[in-house]
Amino acid sequence: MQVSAKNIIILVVLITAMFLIAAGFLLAYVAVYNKRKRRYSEEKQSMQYNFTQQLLQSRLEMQENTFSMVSEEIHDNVGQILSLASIQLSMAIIKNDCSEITLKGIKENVDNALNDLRNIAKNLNGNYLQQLSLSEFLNRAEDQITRNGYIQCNKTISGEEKELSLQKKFILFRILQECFQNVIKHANASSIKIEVKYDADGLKLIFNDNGKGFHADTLPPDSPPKGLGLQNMQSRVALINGVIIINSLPNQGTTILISIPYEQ
Amino acid sequence: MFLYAHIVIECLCLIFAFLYLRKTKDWWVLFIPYMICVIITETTALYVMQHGSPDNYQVHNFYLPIYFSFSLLALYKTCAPLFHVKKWIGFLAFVILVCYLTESLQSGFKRLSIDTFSFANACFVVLCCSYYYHLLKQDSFIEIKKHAPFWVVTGILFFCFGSTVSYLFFDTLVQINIKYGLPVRQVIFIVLNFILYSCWSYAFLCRYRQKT
Repeated sequence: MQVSAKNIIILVVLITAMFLIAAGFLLAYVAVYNKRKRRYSEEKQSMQYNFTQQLLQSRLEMQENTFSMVSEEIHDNVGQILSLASIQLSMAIIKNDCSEITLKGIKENVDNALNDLRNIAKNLNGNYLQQLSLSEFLNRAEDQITRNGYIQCNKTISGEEKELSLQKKFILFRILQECFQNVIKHANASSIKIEVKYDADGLKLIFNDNGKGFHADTLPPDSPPKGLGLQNMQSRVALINGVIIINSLPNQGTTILISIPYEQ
Repeated sequence: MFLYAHIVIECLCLIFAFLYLRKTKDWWVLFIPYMICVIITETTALYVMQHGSPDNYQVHNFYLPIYFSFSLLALYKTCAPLFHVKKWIGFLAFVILVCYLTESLQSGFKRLSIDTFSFANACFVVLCCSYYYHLLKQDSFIEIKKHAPFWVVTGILFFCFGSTVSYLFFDTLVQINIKYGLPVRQVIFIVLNFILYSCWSYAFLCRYRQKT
């Protein structure tokens, strides 16, 4: 009986201890899981913050880019046309020439300047950019880049155009601006090919130039600041759940492949 | 003398409840009258045992409805913000009441309603686990160290889960205590009470900090 009582006591104490340990494990599991959930929540918040920051940065850069373009347009185009119109008017006053041909010439120049100013005003309007589709954006970029006649641009768009969310559109436009700027500033290219495909699962964009290219792994040391533009492109595409592949070799041009899903 | 340990632990918990909850105007303030009931029960049971009566089951038997009611209320108040528990609590309260009355009437209130107690504890354990499950399931996270309801549930879980074996071997442990003078059950319950009331005291502190 004594042995039996001892056994029962040991059994009861052991099982009770095991039950308490099991409850302790359950408690520890809850604590660890909750900690993970907290970390996940913090990471999510940080990612959201990062996304907002990048979006804001993209908008600011686009704005800066637009201002720079507007400044160049006013100086190189509108300013020149208006100067010409002013000279024509001065000549007409000096010569007392009010002939129809002279006036038509002045009017034509003033009209051109007005058209250019309207285009500039559109560029400065933020809502206009929001309403712009990808193909319209590419058309505008093509007009600007081919104006001097140094660079040719061919673009093809296939598939049914689908509207991207505003955030994605802003980031994509900013990436494309960066691509165009790289071509003008660094690539020394004479031709650009842009291919846009609206696939079922997402947008595929191929941006190719025939410029001097570079080692995609080791960027040229004169690229200021070292590879930041490309890094920004990569981090921004990742933010909108997209993929970017940059293929380039010296003297073989550069190809940038961008893939962006439609859904959020 | 170690039987006084129960009362000491419970008194300490009452002090904590009084210190941190006396100004509360919600259900938390009910911890104070409940702890007073617990201390009165323990003191009466001890008095009865020390003054000739072979057991104090009747005292504990009258306390059981208070224990069931308060545990159900505490679990309802802690679980309700996480999931729909009202119907379950109502159903459990009814079943436990029926079991308690049946068992008590059968023994003429002279024997502790062990089966009801074990059944109720098992139900409380399930409710505690459901609480943890829904706590983890929700999108937002909680600061466990500062979350008062979590510690109330934790105390109940440890107490109910830990006491299961003692109630399964209740009669045997009573016999062992009578024959060999080994109060195993009492020792286990001192440990369980210590865990339960420590968790609750900490919960009161969390509640107080949350309020101020």
